Amino acid sequence: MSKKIIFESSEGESFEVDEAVALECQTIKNMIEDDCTDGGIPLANVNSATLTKVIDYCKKHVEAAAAAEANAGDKDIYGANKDIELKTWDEEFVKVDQPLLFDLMLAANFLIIPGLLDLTCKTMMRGKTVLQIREIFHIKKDYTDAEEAEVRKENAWAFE
Amino acid sequence: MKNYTAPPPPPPPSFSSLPYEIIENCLARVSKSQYGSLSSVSKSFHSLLSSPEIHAARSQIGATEPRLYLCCESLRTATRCYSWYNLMSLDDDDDDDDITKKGDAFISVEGAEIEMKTELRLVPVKDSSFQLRARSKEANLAVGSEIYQIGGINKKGKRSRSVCVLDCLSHTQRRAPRMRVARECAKACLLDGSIYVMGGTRKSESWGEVFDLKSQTWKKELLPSPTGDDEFDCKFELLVLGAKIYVITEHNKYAYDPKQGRWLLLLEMGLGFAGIEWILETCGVWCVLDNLVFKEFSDDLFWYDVSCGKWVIVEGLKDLCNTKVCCCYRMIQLVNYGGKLVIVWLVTPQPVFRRNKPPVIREEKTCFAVIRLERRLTSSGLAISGEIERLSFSLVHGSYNPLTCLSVSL
Repeated sequence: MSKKIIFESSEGESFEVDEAVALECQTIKNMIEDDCTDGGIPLANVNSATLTKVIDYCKKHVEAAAAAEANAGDKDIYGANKDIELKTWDEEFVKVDQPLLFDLMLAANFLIIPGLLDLTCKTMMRGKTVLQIREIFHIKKDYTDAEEAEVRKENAWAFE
Repeated sequence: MKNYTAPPPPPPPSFSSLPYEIIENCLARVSKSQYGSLSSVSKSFHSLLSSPEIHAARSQIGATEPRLYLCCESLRTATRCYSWYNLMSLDDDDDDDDITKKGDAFISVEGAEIEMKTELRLVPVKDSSFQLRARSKEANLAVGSEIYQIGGINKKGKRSRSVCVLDCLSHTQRRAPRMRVARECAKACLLDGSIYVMGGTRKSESWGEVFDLKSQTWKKELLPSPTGDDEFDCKFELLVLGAKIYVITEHNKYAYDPKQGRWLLLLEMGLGFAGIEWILETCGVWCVLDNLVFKEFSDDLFWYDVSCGKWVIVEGLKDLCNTKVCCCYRMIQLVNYGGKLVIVWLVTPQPVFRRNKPPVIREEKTCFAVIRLERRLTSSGLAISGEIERLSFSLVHGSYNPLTCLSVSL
């Protein structure tokens, strides 16, 4: 029976997870190493909905890593198939509304889950227009039209 | 570590109140090709996107991207001068708000006909106002986001000891410590944080030198010539495969293992590499990518199979050959472009003669083909095929002569 870790969301709800799953979070890993996880870990800035998703993500990635290790022997030399499966799962995972995506990104940053941070940041930026970015991130345009055109011109590299 | 449980205020979903590191994290993961559009979001975005911090963040998460630098001889100035250029798209359709990757930048392959889709413009690399010059006969080596320009011929027409480093992030040049001896047309390679410079000097006792990148100093010990004697002035090529450096001459092959610090003569029968001296041939170009040697020769792309000592054709590139048939061209370079292969060549079209009319003179152009390579294991061993991802060109307009091309990671 593996050791369990208890998370407490901002609403005070408790979530019990395997230690291996909790170890996916660098922040929690440090705490476990420092032996200060008794009595649960209150995560005052992560709500239940977000925490549920975060735990889902960590579980899936722990399972995938274990499966990859088990199959390491007969992997084809480029080992691509497993990656594709996990990637597809990741893509589905971040098909959520904007506020939840934001919360996931913040949680990934706070808990230090590099894979999730990468995934959410990329998803956050993907396919957005300049106008959308200003809107979503509440940024006011502080350029004149001429300045804006100039900036775009000097940065318009093609060959990359 | 007592602060884990301290409750920070719940962050509202707004970038302006988001922690700086989150913004940086997001921007570092966007392709650099979109930084132009992203810079126009706001002034703070612009300054963040042009900061060294964003590059550091990109490097840390391994999100750097390759960018090509072309060294050309200018044909419009009275004196010979060599300069660096970037390549910029001409058909920027000013689709301001579109930061999604433009699909039409990639070529489509219709039958055997490849459309030359994107036209590129050469943009001089400038240090505020000065165009950054390169020297003739220098050895150029891309190291991360920098280009080391080693030796060459100086303004007075003499061999030079100097090492000039072009920082491709800021487009500024700095001087690195000079070499012990002056060199022209030296060869340079990168292995384990050191630059190895060889040849290009008559002083055989200092045939090679080693530069440590971290400390930015030349190592005290010189690198002996592969034969160890004073006479090693034959033509050679330098390549790195695995953890060893190889010097290939027409008759011999030598391997240098930095850990052992000595040269080994490879025997044809024992250690293979038969026929690899083909890279010495002047009318083709070659490069190393993923520990494999590739060479362009007579319209075809080959790779060197060490296991059997043979050059094998890269499959699937018939269309590329067809673009070269019926025109004069000169190969410029094969470049390892972040794991893809870029072939650079200069096309000089033949004039089309017409009855009772002036001949049609078509423009010279430099062509760039980005090729994605795929390895497959077949019953008869490794097979490599290529797929053209993109084909671009830049019209020469009689103004420049492309000499060499490098890929740095930004």
